[in-house]
Amino acid sequence: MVQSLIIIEHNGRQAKASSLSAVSLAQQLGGGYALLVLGSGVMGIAESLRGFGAEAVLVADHALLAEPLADRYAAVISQAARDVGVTTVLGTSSTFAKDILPRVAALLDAPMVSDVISVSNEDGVIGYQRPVFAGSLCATVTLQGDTRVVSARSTAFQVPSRNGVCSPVTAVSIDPDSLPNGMEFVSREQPASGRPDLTEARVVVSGGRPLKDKETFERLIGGLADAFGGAVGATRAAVDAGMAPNDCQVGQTGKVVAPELYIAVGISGAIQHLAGIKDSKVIVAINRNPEAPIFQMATYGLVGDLHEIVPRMIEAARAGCR
Amino acid sequence: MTDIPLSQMPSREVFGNIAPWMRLVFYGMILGSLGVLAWQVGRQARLWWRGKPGGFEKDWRLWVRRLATFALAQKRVHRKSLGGALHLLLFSGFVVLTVGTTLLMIADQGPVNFHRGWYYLIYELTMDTFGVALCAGCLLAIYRRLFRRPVSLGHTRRDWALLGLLLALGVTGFLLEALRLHYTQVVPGVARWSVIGHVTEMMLFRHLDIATTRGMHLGFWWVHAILVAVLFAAIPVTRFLHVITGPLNIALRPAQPVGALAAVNLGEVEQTGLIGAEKIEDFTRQQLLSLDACMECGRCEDACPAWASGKPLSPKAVVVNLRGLMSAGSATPRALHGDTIAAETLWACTMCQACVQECPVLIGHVDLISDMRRNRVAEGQIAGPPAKALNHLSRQFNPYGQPNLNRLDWAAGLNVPTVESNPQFEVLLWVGCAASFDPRAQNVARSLALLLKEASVNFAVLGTKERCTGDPARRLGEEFAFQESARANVDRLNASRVRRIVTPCPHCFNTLQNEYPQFGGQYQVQHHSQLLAELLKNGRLQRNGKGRGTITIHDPCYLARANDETAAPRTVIDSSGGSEVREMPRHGRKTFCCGAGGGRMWFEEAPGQRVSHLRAQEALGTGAKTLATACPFCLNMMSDAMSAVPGGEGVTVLDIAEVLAQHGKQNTA
Repeated sequence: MVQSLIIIEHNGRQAKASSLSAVSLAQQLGGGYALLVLGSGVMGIAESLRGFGAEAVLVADHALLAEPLADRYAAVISQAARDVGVTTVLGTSSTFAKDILPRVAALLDAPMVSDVISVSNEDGVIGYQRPVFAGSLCATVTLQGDTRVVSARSTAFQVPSRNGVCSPVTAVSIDPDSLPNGMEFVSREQPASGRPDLTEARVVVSGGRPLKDKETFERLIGGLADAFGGAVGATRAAVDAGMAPNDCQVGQTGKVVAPELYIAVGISGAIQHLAGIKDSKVIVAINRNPEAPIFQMATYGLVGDLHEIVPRMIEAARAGCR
Repeated sequence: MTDIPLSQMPSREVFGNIAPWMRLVFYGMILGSLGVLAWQVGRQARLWWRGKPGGFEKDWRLWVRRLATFALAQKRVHRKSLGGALHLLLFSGFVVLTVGTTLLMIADQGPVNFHRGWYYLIYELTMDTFGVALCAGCLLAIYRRLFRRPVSLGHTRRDWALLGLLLALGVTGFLLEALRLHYTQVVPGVARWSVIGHVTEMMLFRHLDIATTRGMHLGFWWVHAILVAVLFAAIPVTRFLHVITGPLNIALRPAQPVGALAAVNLGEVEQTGLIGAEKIEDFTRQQLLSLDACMECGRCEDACPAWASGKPLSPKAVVVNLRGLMSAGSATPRALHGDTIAAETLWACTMCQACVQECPVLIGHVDLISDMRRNRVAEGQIAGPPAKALNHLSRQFNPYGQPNLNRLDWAAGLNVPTVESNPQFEVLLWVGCAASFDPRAQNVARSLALLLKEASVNFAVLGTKERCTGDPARRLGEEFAFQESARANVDRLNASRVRRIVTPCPHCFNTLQNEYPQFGGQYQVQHHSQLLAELLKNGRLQRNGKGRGTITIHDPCYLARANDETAAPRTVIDSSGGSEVREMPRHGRKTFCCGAGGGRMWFEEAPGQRVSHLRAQEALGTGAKTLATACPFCLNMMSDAMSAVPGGEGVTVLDIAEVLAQHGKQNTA
């Protein structure tokens, strides 16, 4: 019996690993689950998802779904949820989900809880834990009603391993005339880099002004990020100095990240930067100045010259991977 | 001279050369032009009256004091060297000549002709002196507008007409005097008192016969008379309008502390559904009058950090554009927001009050901007990091979005007393969000706490019960969030029976001292520089020996300018012993903003447009190795800027409390 419907995000070529962490949540909730992939020409992605133990991999493949327009996606998802008869619609807390899931909840007339980091079960009542008050408290939320919409914080759940079960792939029928048409896709801008998205990466390596130039920045910060399979971030100062592109900026006026591991290289820790990293699980700081404010925030601190430390870390990380 | 018969006492004729019918025509003409003047000013006043009622200062004693200081003594006009000097010449010339001529009319028409004897001689000398002043002022003004052409100075063709008119009045006045001296055959001993007229007569007219000079006199008299009439009528359509609107605004601007913004009556807002200025009529009548008081001298623009850093904000342009909208009347399709004042302009203001401090006619630029911001925020026209900061301020009680439970993290290991653990405290240490959460500024809080302990000050903190004063919300125009914070804090402070407060943040200081009284919070508030200076003076803190070498002091706007405290930070630095203070060109009340005020702390700034970089370069110019400030926001901005500008790496940026605390360490070490 399928209990949960998990919305899978992808980049047109493959599913995003972060969105698979919702599978772990579904497994914890118990009951069967189905995956839903939306897009145009996404059969290949659906095929790649057959090994995750789902009762079914549903595919909504249509030219009108080529871009993630919230009104159409929400209509398709809510229809699929009704057709399958699931109790829970699941996604991960990403920009994609923030855009779409509340609409799904509204269409299903279902309650929604976002940013879930764990679940508990007491006498059959499911409690959803989510951080509140900037992470200083954790609230347990229970939901009423037969259906509910839940988004999971991807860094709080493991990416599931393949278990070999071959899920069937089923196409969802799309009626183009019934799809809403209120939104128009204009354009998409994305960096050329093959690295994971900053806001979704499990590891983020960021650099500050002491990296001096673009080449050093790429060699050390890019190198360390690649060694961990992580994303590259930068302080405003590094972006100003032209060492890193604008969309790498992390902090108050840039992106807010919450990876499992945040490595701050040559970052003193101005409050403007800290505003963007405070939800990171583990913060490692490398700085020459032992008085640098970042050390107050860091889980682990390394006082020393980043030009010596980082190459050794890259080497060690690579060796560890092998 | 009392022995000389009345008829022979030195005096002058007034209308001797003017036939009675001409005098009638003259008086009619002057009355007519005064009528035109009154009518036109009345037309402007109707524009002002479209504004919200009230907003005028009612205390007449304050009017008198302000008029004496700012109108008569022109306290703020002098500050520009050439502009100030020429204005003094024009102003004194115009005032004395107008008063003198009026006195002459009174003497001539009144029951007693007092215009004789010594009075007459001194009168002539005075009038000549100030006639020269007027002409010199005109010439200097023409020179300045022709050759110097200050960028910030407003200029139109009408300015040439106005200056030409004033100069022509001065010149014809002297010609008339010379001609009168000649045809009335005044003896040289008396004529000499009318210096310029006498010399002019000697040079130009001494060989002419009396009939000719009489004729010439009549001709010039009419020219002079017509020019006077034209001048009166032209006042409202030229920059000269400020001779009326300037003093009016100086007298009528409502009294409030420089750093305080006017409170909004939320009950009223609920009824009208309106907050701030959406249309030009939403400003008060006094604010609309103030727009007409501007004569575009440009002092505000010269002082503005947003303008200096290349942002699309000039306080002068704000006033001039608003005035343009007001004058366009109700028929104009132009909107206040967008068409007249761009959003980028509105948000570029750091509310450093430099423009307000410079304005000779007391225009409140920051109040204008605040009213417009309030409306924009109410309309939801604020997004991005500043909106997030406001959100944080309301939800987490601090603009950084940090858990408020961590508010005492800075005090770890210091055993800092709270109002619960030490209910008998004398002074409340109001830490403020920056010193509580910004890891760099936390060190300021720690240094201050250590100094207070060293001086055995009986103090306590509110701890997790403290929340943002609401200052960023109020400057950004989020009046609801501000008032919520203010009321909650006042309740807590009163419940803890707080009487004295010390805070290391000038923004908290300003809000606690100048804005909380609006909500029933009356405390004796000190900035930490003031308390530290006091403790040093009365010996409870003692420092001697070697200091930090060369040091420059960056005065925070909300300490120096808004609250007039420039001595205390210097006392602290001087008492640290041995430090050589090197002042920046802009220091004390003339300080230059760091760029963080007015909510700008939470805005992204393009690299070429950072106010802080301009200030860092100014500080580097002093060659000082330490930059001391007294504000956690200045500390943050200047630290950041110093590491970004070339040559800045060698400069340490510290708070004055850190300078003092470190100095103590050096001694004991």
